[in-house]
Amino acid sequence: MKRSARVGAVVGGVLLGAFVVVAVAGSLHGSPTELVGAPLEPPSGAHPFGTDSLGRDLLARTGQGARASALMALGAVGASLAVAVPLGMASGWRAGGWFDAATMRVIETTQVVPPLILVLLLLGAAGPTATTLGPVELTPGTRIALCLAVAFVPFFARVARSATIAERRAPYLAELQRLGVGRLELAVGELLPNVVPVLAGQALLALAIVIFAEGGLSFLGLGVPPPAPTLGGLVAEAGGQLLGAAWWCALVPGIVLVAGITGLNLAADATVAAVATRSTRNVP
Amino acid sequence: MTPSSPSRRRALRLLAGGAGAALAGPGLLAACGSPSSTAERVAARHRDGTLRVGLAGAPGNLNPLDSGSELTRWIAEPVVETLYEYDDDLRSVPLLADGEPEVSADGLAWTLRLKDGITFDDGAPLEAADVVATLDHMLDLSAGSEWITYLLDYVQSFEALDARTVRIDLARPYGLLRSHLTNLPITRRDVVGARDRIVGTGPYRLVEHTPGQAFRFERNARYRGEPGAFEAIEMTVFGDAAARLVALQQGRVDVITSVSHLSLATVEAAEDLRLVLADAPLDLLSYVNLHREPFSDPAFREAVAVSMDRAGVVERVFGGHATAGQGPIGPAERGWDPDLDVFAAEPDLARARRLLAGAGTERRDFTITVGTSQLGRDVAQVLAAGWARVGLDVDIVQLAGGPWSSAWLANDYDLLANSFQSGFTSGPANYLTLAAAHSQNLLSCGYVDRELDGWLDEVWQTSDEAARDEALRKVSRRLAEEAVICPPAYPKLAVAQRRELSPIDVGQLRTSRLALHRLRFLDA
Repeated sequence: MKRSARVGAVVGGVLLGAFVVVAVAGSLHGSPTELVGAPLEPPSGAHPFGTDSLGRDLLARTGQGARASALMALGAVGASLAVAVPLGMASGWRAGGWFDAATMRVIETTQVVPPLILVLLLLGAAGPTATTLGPVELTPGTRIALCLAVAFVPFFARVARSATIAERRAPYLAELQRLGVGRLELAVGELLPNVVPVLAGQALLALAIVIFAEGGLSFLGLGVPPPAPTLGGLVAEAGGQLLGAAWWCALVPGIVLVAGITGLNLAADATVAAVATRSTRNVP
Repeated sequence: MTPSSPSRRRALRLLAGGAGAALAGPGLLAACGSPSSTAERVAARHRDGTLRVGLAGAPGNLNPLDSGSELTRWIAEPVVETLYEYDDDLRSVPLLADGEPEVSADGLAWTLRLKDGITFDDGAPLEAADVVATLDHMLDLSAGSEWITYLLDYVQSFEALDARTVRIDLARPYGLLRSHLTNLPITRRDVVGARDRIVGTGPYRLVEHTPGQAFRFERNARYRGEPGAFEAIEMTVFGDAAARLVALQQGRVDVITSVSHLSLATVEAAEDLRLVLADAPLDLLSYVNLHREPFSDPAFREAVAVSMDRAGVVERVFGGHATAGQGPIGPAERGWDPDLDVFAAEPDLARARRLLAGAGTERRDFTITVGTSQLGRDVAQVLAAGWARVGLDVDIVQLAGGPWSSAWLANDYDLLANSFQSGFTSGPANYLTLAAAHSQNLLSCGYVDRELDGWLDEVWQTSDEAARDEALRKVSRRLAEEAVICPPAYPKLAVAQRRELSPIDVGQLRTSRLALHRLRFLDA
């Protein structure tokens, strides 16, 4: 790995560490919904990040918001990978066949709709109130995570398919098949470990995009309903304070949001570089 | 968001741009110009004689006969007039009508004479047929006019007796008709159904508009009275409250409506701006659903009412520019009872806990359904935080206008809240708010009280203003005591203006009117 990639990895790690520290410290600091102080108190010992326009502790809200945003990102990307990886691998395994052709046409059709519009459509269809999926009641956060997950499926499926096609051509797979190793064992035991590193970097980047997207949805009023905080929601709520002197309302959660997204970007970059280095080393 | 091709550089660029804007925003905004340079710019702009107004929104349908909402009527206000108007003491006095209406002894036949020589801005004379066409449109179910809720069941028929005389026959006594005649706009008969055009008899005429965005009015040369001080009035929509305020600070507009509660202090602190606050018929609607648990339980209902953090809403949301709520009638409305003191401003947590302990329902959770505005969200959050202190778990549901109304109509809510301004339909009153308390009303919240139904009937039917006010006071007290309609606060109507403009008339704001044509530039 190049020196610049190593520096990026370290900086990304520090930023992600700071993000996690705020998430943990904020969650331990107190209630994010209780009215604990006067409105718009500047940062102080009692309220290190100040208070918001209603008098709620901004450290507690930022911490809870970071936690909620991170969980939403992990949930969205995890759910998306859970669907997309088997789909992409099956498609790549049968590249050129009818299953591959059908899957790719469906994915291409889905990708005609811009992802943000797709998420907005899905959220609109789900409605603003509690939704049930069979016996399971979906919280608003879960619903948003699932809608974002759907938007990522085509991308991850295509990456998984490409990685599978590349790996499928490797001679060792044909040899293992000749030795009588079953398809499932080959897919899970041999193919998957080689596809995952390719996806890892993209998944880290997707985490950053989900956090960013959640911020955008909150800004449009489609995020998690109040009083539960998310980072995007906190920045959106603080919009009205930009004209006053309460700089901390937008700045503090904004910095945490930037730290999380930048950290994930740099981590994704480092992961891609590491995978590339490994691939180069493996070339005979 | 670009999951189809996530690019690290693109994401970082977006992020850097957003962060930069967020960090630099306040500084940039503050550096927009000193008050003196802005004043020079405003004075230069005023030389074209155009008053510029920043609105929070504009409807797709411009027809003032269809809606009493301030968004519709503020746009129509310079153009259309009413048969009667409110004077400075909020008494209804003739405007297009030629004197008081003649009312038959049984109160069922009203005869109105129109003033002679009044013309619409397109040159057509005002005639009785225009009033008849206006009423016809309002009572047409397919037209979807909001006024039908006020007129249906009462107005039986109407006809033009001659070119200047209209007769309205009622199915039963309807004292509120006088209030309606003071608020319902009259347009020319050919355009009563038009949704993109306004024709009226007022001092200005609408000359061009971009739907939902901008409106330009010019002086109506045919106006019979003193012409407005401005050559033209331009209204521009700034949907974002902060953007609206920036436009005012920069001197790009002279007046902004719907000042955000978050910006009141900023406007107050600006030496070149004036914050105009008025006690107006601006209500925070709050209905509890008695059709179902938990609010069907009187003890639960009372516990919620006594633990409502009214002081929190007044101070934290409105910055002190509001009055703690009691019953449904606020200080700017007919029937206001200053002695009504059912609830303390601070929540009575001990009493609420006692009431909950004795409540029949086991439920300790409910939803509060509000609109999508920041105001509704903030009020709900303060209330939810207060109720959490007595162990009540409150979910906040935000719904846009259509779904919110549907939830109300379908009785699909626990506690329903929103802000509602009624000055253009009821003047210094809000009769529609009370309708949900009547057991026979379509929007009934499930409260059944025959005595209260009788008082409400009297409110709508009597022509005796004192009797109406007394009935309103009794209604407000009963609904507060029974914890059926008890809003957390009575907010003030907030408008902001530049000081280069003469002060907006607070008296007119008491009925939601901006009365822009009465203003003038002080620096011209």
